Amino acid sequence: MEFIKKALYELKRFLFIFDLSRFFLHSLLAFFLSLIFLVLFQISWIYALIPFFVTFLFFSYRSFRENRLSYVEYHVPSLSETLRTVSDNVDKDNFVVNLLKSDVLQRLRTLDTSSFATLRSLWFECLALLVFAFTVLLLAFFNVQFDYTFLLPESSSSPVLASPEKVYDLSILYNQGNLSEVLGNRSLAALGDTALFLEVNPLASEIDISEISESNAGDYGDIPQFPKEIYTSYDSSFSDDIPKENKDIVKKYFEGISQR
Amino acid sequence: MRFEEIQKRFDVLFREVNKVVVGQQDVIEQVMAAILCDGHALLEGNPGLAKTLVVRTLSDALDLKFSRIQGTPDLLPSDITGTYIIDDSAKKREFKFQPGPVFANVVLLDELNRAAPKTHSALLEAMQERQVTVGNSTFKLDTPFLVLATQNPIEQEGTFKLSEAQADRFLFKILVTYPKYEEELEILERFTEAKALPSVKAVFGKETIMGLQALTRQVPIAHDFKKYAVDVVTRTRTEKKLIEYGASPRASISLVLAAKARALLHNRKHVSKEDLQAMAYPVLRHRIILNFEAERNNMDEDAVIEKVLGR
Repeated sequence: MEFIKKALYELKRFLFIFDLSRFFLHSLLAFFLSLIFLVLFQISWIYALIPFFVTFLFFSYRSFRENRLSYVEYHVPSLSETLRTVSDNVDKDNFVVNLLKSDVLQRLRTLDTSSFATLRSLWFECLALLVFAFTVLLLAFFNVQFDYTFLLPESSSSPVLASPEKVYDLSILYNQGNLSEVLGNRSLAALGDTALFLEVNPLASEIDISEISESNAGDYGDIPQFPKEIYTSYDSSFSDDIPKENKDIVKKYFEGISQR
Repeated sequence: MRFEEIQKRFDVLFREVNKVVVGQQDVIEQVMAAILCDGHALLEGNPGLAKTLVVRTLSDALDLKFSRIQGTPDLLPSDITGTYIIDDSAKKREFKFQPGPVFANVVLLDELNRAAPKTHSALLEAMQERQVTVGNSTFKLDTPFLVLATQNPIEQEGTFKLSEAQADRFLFKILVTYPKYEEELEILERFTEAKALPSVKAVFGKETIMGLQALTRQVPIAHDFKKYAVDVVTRTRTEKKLIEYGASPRASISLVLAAKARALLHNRKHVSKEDLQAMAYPVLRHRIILNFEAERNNMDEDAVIEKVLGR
């Protein structure tokens, strides 16, 4: 009765590969579906890997828990309950078990993959996958994005944005107050990380250069006395390119101020 | 004997029994399952439902030695097991063991609950150990050995309730119900017109029965169904809302064994979930004790078992 062992091994191996392919397809569907939302909300695509793996693990765990032969039995009623029984008693050797083994072997010979692999659902999943993939492509091509920033609370200053090292959404900062003097014209914010070619024409400028006078020496004699707790210091990170003698001058100057 | 041949013989057996007994297919099947499992069965039903007739006819069809004991309050253990009598047929007078009615293959104890607890316990050894001890001597009982006891659910006055320990010794508690209208008409026809009941041919012999008992244990069961059987029995212990005392692990053994017997009787080479569900009723109904909540909801043992099975 080695044949039945081989037949069951083959069947289990096929089921394993079949299941893996199915779960991969399910996970890919979850990946693309979440990718659509991520593109719409301008969130990095990396996050789409989470539903991918979660879906894969979920189906694998479920499959691991249940007897996979019952899946075949469900789709092939002639093998109902017998396949699992034979599989669990494959090492037993008695009159009834041997009869059952030969019965199951006969039925396995006539078993067709298509009888338990539901092609309709596979086709449906492939179609859905295609639709999702095209949707993602179209969304990316037409740069369709959903502006959800108005939903964010005002304190939120660092939303998760695509390529954060490159893009800094100035529109959010503008909403936080009148920062046009610091950040420039508000219309520039719409440019994002697009390269901007600027040509400064002194003649077209509103500022008359001739009216700009030389700077005058300031009088800093009336510097108020600060308590000792208030003092100035410098950050080492700024000291990289400053010559040492200049540092000493600045240091002495600030020490002088603080001692007054 | 080939598997198909066994099935044919079972069909012939049931046909033979049905020559005498009208209807009661479930009862006949369950008694037969008890024989295949080498277990004992308790038959409960109102008087006049052919309990005794079923057992007698089956033992005739199986060609087994049959004996009948009527349960009465004054029935003594020695009335069942047998006793020593003085034998003076030889020249020398000596005590000789006179075997009681328990020395048969099929023992029908009618109205078991009318017998005293002392007599109940005398049956315990016979049922469990398949032997009888009288005085200092132990006598092995013939195989196959099957005790079929009947109980009357009404007229509880002057009866002795079977102890839980002894009830657990019975593999099944089989309920004998009233026949259907058409069946009762057939009963009338059969028993009021013919003078004598038709004779039943012996289909199986003692040796064949023992072979079938061995074959029953060979019927394979899937691991999933073993787990299902244990789940069902365990649930009787955890379903505290309706059950005060659940079934013991012996019930799990009995359930799987009974399912194997049913599979064989139904021409199947494996145990199915349906077998387990069908046999859960006779296996569990005398092994669970319902609580007040179940009684308040008018639920009997079968209704609770149905709930346990999740049907």
